[in-house]
Amino acid sequence: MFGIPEPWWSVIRAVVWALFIIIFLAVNAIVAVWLERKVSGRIQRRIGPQRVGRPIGWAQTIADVFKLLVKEDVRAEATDKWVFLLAPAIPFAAITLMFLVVPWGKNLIPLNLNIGLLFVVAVTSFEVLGLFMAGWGSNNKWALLGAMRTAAAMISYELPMVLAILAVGMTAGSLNMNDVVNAQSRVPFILIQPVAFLIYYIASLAEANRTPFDFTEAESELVAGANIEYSGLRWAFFFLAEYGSLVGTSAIAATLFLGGWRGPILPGPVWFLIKTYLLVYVAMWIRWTLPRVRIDQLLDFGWKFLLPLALADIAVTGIVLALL
Amino acid sequence: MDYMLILPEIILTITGIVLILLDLGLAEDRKGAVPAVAGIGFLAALAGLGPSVGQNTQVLWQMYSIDSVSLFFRTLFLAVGFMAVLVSWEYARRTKMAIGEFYHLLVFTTLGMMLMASTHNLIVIYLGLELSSISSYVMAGMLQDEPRSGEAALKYFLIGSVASAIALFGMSLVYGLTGTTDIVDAVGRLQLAPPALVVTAGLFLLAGFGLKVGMVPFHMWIPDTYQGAPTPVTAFFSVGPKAAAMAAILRIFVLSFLGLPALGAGWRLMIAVLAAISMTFGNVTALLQTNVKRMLAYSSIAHVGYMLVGIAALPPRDLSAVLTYLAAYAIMNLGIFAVVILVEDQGQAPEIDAFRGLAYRAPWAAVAMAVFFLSLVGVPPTIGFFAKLQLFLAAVDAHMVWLGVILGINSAISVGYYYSVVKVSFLRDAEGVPPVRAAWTISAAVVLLAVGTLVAGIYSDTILRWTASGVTLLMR
Amino acid sequence: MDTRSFIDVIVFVAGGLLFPIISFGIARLLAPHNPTPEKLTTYECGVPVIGDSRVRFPVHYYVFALLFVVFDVETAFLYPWAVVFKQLGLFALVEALIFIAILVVGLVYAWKKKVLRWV
Repeated sequence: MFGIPEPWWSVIRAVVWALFIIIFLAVNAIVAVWLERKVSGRIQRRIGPQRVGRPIGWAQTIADVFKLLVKEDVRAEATDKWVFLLAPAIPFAAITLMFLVVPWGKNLIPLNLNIGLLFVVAVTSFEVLGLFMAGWGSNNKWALLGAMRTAAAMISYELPMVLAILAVGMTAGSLNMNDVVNAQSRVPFILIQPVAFLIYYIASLAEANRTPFDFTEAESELVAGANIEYSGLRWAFFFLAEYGSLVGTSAIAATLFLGGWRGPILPGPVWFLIKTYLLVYVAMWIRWTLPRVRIDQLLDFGWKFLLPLALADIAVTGIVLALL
Repeated sequence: MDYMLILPEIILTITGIVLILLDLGLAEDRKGAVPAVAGIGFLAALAGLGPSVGQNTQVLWQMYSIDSVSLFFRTLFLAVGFMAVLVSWEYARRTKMAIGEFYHLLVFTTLGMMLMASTHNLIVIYLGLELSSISSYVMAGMLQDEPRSGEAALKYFLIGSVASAIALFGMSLVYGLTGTTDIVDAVGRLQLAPPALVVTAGLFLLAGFGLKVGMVPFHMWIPDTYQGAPTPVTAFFSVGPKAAAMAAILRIFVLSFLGLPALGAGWRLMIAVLAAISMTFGNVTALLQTNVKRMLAYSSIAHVGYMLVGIAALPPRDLSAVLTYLAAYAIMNLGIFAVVILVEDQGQAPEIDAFRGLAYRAPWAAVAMAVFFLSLVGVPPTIGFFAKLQLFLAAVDAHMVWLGVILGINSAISVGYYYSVVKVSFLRDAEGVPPVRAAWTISAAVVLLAVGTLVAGIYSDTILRWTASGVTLLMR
Repeated sequence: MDTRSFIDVIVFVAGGLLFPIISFGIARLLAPHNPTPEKLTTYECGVPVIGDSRVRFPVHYYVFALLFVVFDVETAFLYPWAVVFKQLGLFALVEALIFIAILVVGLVYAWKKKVLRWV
């Protein structure tokens, strides 16, 4: 195309998409942090940020970014140098990779992979690796404890999540994201698979380390968890990844259960963003409404309730589909 | 239909799951039902072999072979599993092992061994290998309060997982060279592959499965594991997983590597040398042992050496020598371990001294023990003699007379340590040793196996014919 | 997978890693850097650090990890089945249900043996 030979055209295409996704994630973090502050303010009968960028405080997080950029990047002596330094990059890369297979509109997808769902499941697990590297590399008791808890929580919720996604794959008869969206042209899967949606959404909160499952941070018990020793921009990247993870899991949920970019009148990407941020908003609503659960409650809930429920859901889905 | 032919496997799977559920559901004082269910499961699976008799076919998308070789091994494993239930019944009760876990692990190990022996697909072999190995690591550590048992489990686990990894690497090389995981299909294509890589693949496979059978130089884990593991488990290990790994070696090597014209002769010589070293090392080291379990561990290394003679001598003769020896070894070795368990059930450590005056305490057991030892040495009219004779003849036929001579010399050496146990049980009095109180299960096992050792020896012709019938088929 | 898939994945991984690393580089140029011994100590709520932080952890974490590996591999087996589920029909459904049932027995076993209890 355009006179450019094939492999290079693919490379250019991929680079453009990658840049778009990275910019999207950066902007998303700025918007989402602002949104979170506003939402929490409203829920707590406050106003939230308003001075910088009057009257709604729209420039607050942008100012924060610049502040973090010029903050000193401290690395304590006891840390494991390269593990510590590189850890913040891993979760971000995992989130970026997740968006590789998310469709934004008709034919608007970075890579139309035929095993898209499996790919999503595979790359989201990388996130925990970065957090664990941070916890281990910091050589700090709080950090390691936070990282261990996060790892335990994430792997426990990975299973129900994977099974919920599997139920969608069975209903759509394909692991391709485009096929999944097309299969929802008449009814979004949230109506066909409500149980799977709930399982996925709850598990995705745990995957994204959101309250009520935010063990990485747990300010009140672990001070700050895995990112305790970080400062400046490295610290900021954990938050970039956390909000990226929130929007990523929400985007997947929107694609798998809410019909993705499909919708009347408005163009595909707009619908996609509306649905995604609706779910992001719900996650924030939950965060500022519910208290944090204890680690044993979290694991009990995952293993003794969500996992059997997800397995039952698979079985029921299989039987119903076979009878139809 | 396919499913009738894999009936034993299906029955075993169901038995295993039922055992898990029983373990969870039964109160602690009613766990006695668990071994009974396991035993019934094994017998039912043996009966389930019925439809497979006389069949020669491939089922489950060409992945599972139902032929007389697989029939032989499946019968062997199920019988061994049943015998393991009998000999462990009293032992498990006495030592307060986790009965529930023990029996379902036993069932799943047997299932894995059956998978390994009845396929010529590398993936399925690996699947069976892992299923049987992982279950057996846990079985080795079943005595939770014994540090030795933990040591046995850990050593077995470390060595076993290395062995699995090595075997898997060899398999992936074969797959990379041929593009198929089916050994029969792979043979032709291996002939076209670069010989250096074929040799590498063969060495990896031989090392991986060699570790599992415990042949020299891959024997180092055997003594500690056999000594530390609970004795019924040791009895089971010494015949079951060993025979399963031997089955895999037979399928892989007899079918492919030994058949390659460029490699055949060299491989045969290598296996012959390993066989000679294995039996000599095992027998000589066993002479120095005072613990009967450890002695039998070294003896088992020697017996692997004997079996390898049959493989080294393969191309001119058929497999029946190896198969016969495997069957004979299973009967007599299980038998001797049954006697050891019987002695241990009286509350004594399995040192040679514990056998003092056994002839006066339990004459029938002492006589049975003598029969097993005679058979292990290879004295007529026991089955051990006929089996060993076959190996000797095979070696001579393959123009490896030297190997046959080493085999004979080794049998003579083995008299030394076997006799030391027989001596104390017949020639020393039983003063200060408690009288023997044997549970019916263990007594039944001892008597059954002793009769088997004698009778099977007399009917060894039939066994030979039976094993020989499958062999032509495996050799194509 | 065709070459394009590989190119895309590699570009995305590279981009996802390079963006943070380049940002760190920029921050290094902009941010001040004056370490003091006090600043470089490990944070432990303000008191001097006691002992090493890489201590032995309760075994529960590892047991959960072990269980996870088992179940994750099992679920990975269900994925190929889900795709061709409609073509294979009733036979595959029954097989998958048996498979899931065996999985459930494993879960029940772990549950009953109190593996899932966080002490």
